[in-house]
Amino acid sequence: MHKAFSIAKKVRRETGIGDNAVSISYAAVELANKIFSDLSERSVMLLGAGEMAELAVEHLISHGVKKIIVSNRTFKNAVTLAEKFNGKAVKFEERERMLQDVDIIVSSTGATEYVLTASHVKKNMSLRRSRPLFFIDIAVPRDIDPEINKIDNAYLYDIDDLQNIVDDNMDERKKEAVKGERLVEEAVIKFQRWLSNLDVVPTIVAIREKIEKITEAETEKTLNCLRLGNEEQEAIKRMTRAITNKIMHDPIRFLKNTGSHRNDAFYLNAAREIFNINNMNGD
Amino acid sequence: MTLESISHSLFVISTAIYVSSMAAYISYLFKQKEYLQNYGFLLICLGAVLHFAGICITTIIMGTLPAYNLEQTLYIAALCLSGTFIVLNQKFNLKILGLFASPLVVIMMSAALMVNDTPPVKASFLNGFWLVSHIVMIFTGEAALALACGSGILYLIQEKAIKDKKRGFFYKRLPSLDLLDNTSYNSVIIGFTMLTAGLITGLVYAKNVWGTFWSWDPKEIWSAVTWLIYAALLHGRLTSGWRGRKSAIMTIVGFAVLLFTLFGVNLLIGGHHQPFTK
Repeated sequence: MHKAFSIAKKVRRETGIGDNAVSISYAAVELANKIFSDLSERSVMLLGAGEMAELAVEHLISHGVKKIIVSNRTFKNAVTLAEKFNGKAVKFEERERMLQDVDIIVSSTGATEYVLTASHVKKNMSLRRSRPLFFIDIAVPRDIDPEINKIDNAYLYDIDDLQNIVDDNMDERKKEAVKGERLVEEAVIKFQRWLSNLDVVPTIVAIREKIEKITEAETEKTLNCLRLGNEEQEAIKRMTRAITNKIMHDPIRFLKNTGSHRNDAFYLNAAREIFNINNMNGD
Repeated sequence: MTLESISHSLFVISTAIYVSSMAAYISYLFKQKEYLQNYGFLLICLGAVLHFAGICITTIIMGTLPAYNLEQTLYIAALCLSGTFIVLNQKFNLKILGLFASPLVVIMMSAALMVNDTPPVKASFLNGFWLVSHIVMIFTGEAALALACGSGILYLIQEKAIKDKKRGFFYKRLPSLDLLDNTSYNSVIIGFTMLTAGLITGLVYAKNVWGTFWSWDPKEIWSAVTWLIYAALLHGRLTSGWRGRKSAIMTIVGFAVLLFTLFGVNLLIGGHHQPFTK
């Protein structure tokens, strides 16, 4: 389980899978972050209403924007929405004058002609001392005059532009997903190898080898100090081997047959842990 | 080992360190790993320390600030640039500017190492407080204006990417327009202040040496032109809100004129600064 999370982290770290926005509202936030250095000092004006526009505003709020202004042809709706976002409602006729104060405009009205034109923006640009303005036009047909994008320090993205970004990012993400799949498969192969290393026979052999090595070394040490005859030496060696075998007998029998409904891997793993045998799991 | 050879090897070593700093910044651009730019910054600091030591030694040998031929002038200018970058980076934290500063330092250092060493002509009048402060302030100001130009260029790249809605290689890697614009503006303020102070000390010094503040020397005229361009840029920003694209272009134009004043005038026209760039 822990391993699964660490692989997930690795996938995020080593691939660019989470780098790009794959929703329109998030793409808008990403752009805002490339225009403004600190969104918490910026304000946003929502023109009209609509699910996607509201989602974009919500995303902007969750990324730090604090000041929200809502404008709608029906003032009552503006007030309701403003309450929802904890913002301020203004009359629809005030929208042009608001260009002096707000930094981001999200527009989604049902109007058939432009609700903000290039001349509106030009007039207000010098009043706001050319601080940048970012227009997000989610409406179809368009709410905001495309000429605005040609004005210095004004940036306009409509829903198609945002959709293009999302599509590009989707392609990018698919490419990164292949990389991610490779990482996961790699981990699965390593895990399988580890599992097969837990096989009964290698475990038993390893445990036996370890114990025998210890016994032999200790016997050798003792015999060297004692200066015994050959026969006595052989007898002691036989004795230590017998002790080893008798001690190992039950654990090995248990490992060979852990019972029909038991979790073999668990006991094998436990045995390897208890005897501190390096399991070559290639971690 | 003579003092001269020690200072020369210090310059060579610091150049090598600047090169590795540049390499770190370039790989930061491609890989976007934070530790790379940390390495880059540490390396440029280390390079600057050794570079400074080298200049100190030359100062001891000469008995005054070494700015008598092109080689020495370039060493001082390069140190001012790396020093200014280190201070500005600490203040505004604009990592990407290292990408501009480190190659520029490397270019100046390698140019200094490669130019033919004209033996420095020591003139008795080239000494004293006014001259030293004139040189240091002018070069520090110019370094800040170089960095302003750098962030201006980055601004234009990023602005084009956003306006054209084509998000290329740089879009992801560059910071926001706001940050680039502010860094450029702050660098211009610092650079302009230093430049003004440097020009004033230059005038005072001219009065001491030649008995007149202003002698219509080509260097003086071009310095005044450069000063006016930056003054206009700051004035425009404060009064009519010149921001973004316009001010980015102005910082680039201003820096081009400044480079001409610094090198072009000496090499092409002449004047009383000429000996220092031979």
